[in-house]
Amino acid sequence: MRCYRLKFFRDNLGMIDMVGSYIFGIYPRSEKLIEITRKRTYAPPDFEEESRVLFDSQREAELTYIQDPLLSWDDMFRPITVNSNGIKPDGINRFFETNTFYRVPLLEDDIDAKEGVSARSLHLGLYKPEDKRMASLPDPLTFAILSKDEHYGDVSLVIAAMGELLSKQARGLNRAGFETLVLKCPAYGFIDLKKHFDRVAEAISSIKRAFIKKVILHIYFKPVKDVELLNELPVDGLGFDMINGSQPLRRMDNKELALGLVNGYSTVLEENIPERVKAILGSINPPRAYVTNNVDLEYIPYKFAIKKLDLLRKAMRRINND
Amino acid sequence: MIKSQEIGSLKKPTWLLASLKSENVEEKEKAKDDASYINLRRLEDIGLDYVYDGEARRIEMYEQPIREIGGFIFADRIRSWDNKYYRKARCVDEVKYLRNYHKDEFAFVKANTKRIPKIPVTGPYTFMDWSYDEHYRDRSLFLLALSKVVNSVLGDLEAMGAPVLQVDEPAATAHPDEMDLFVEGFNAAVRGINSKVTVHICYSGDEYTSLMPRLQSIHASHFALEFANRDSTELGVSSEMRRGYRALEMFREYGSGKELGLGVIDVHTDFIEPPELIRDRILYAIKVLKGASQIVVNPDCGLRTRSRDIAFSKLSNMIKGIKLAEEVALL
Repeated sequence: MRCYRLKFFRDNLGMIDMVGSYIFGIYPRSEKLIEITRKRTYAPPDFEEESRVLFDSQREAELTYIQDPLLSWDDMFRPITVNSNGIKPDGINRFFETNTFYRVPLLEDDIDAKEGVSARSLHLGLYKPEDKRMASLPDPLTFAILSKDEHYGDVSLVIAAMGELLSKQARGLNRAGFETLVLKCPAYGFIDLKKHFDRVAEAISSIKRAFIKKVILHIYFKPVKDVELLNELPVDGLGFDMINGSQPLRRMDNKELALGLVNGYSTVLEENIPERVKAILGSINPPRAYVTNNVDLEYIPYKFAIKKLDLLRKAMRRINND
Repeated sequence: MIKSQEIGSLKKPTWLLASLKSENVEEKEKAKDDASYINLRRLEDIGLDYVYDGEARRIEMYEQPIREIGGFIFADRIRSWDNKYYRKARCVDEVKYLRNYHKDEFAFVKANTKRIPKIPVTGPYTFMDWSYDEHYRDRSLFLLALSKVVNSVLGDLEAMGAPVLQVDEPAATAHPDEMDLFVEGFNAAVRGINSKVTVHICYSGDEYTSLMPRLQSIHASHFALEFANRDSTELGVSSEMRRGYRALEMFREYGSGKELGLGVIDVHTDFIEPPELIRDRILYAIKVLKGASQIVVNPDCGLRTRSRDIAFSKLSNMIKGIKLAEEVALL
């Protein structure tokens, strides 16, 4: 097993003095947007107006990084699957253990995409100069495992192909001024990571080289068994779902840590985020930490997503002022 | 002879949807009666043995009953897939049985069919898994409270003369680690029920591998499962051609004495399965299960996502496919 430790540039970091915050992934659509999309399947609506509201909501919540809310993304693999060669969205399948379904990416030929497919799907014009831009993409392993392969015949080859596909997207995001990329890894708790580790590490290394700036892996839905393996991956930070299951964490001297403490799968409003953050950081000691959602907020209705953003703002004030 | 059944829902006719917007309650109820009646006639004419009314009176399988159970309020819609959404409820208080929310529709079906009526009733585990729990904050407690409600509904329907109660549990295998909890909740929901209890489970993420070893501990005599969605559309009775039916091997191992509702129609595509394809799916099941005695044929799930024309064409071909299979198998 090769070691993929990166050289870290710790300017501006040092010991934790402030904890940051962000919300990654797909946001829920408002009731208004739901009505529009329900009735206009073949004439997609303009998502810009609704996206603008959620850009502003993130700023009001004083988040460290601002992410496009991905309102036009029908699942975590689109628009990539509809704008790339050799791959297309196929039948629906249950998304892990949720009551939400995704269209299975069907691999029919060598997959390839132009560089800016993902970046073009974002509302770049809604960013302000002072915003720190963040983007989310699926990680290559999750993308590979949830695809239906009728071309490559070997999951290792699919992971490698996904690595190349996503690297192009990462390069496009870098050129569009993004400084943080979250790779969403829901599959990691459901599979034997060791079995695929070398190929996954190569694919993620390729994405990191293309993006250059900060890359954070976020694992969710289930704890990952071989958590120590994650430290070997060539990324800048690791994020965990701190709600579902009990994710054991190790001391992290060289990776930033994102704590998924805002529950995107429950309408219950969390009251103890500051206490949990302090308890966790007391033993882990990462170079920098963030409080984030555990899973995409799209699993709760829009108005609860807004409430959670406000809740996060208040929690962060308590964490950083205490 | 191989029996046939529908699983539950059909798309509502456009005139019913228009009538439901009316403020005239009498007009609305009359439209629902008409739609139920027409659905029953269509399903009977096609030749199904077990029928219901296409759930013509229900919004859908979750929202309709949740409206009638105490302790819930709705929390707006979230996505199911693409631009399809469902209204998800929050449990904010103790769950309470208020009334039998299927009483009127079952009474109408019973009075208007000469076939065997089979009423679909959403199961407690699915209610739990599809709702936000802000009250119990404990899945076991929440589930068992819902099991009591469903038990009351089933008991009422049995008292009204319902011969077959189909408990819909599409979420049953969503959390394989929780299968024992599902079984506990299901058995509590059907406790004391003497009518025939069937269970419908679809879109299993683990291809029923967590379900099958528990078939004997689940107090249902019939399991209506989804297979066609995973299968090829090529003809043939080899395991390669019928790769969507791999779970049959486990059913043979664990399903002794249980009936199988064999899903032979994919409800998520407009492709109308030819009778020969349905024949081969049935023949493959007969081969694996070493006979047809355990088999009832049905679509994978309710057909409400398909147009009515396509749904009825699929069901017609299903009946033709059964006849072809019976000819080959000399049944």
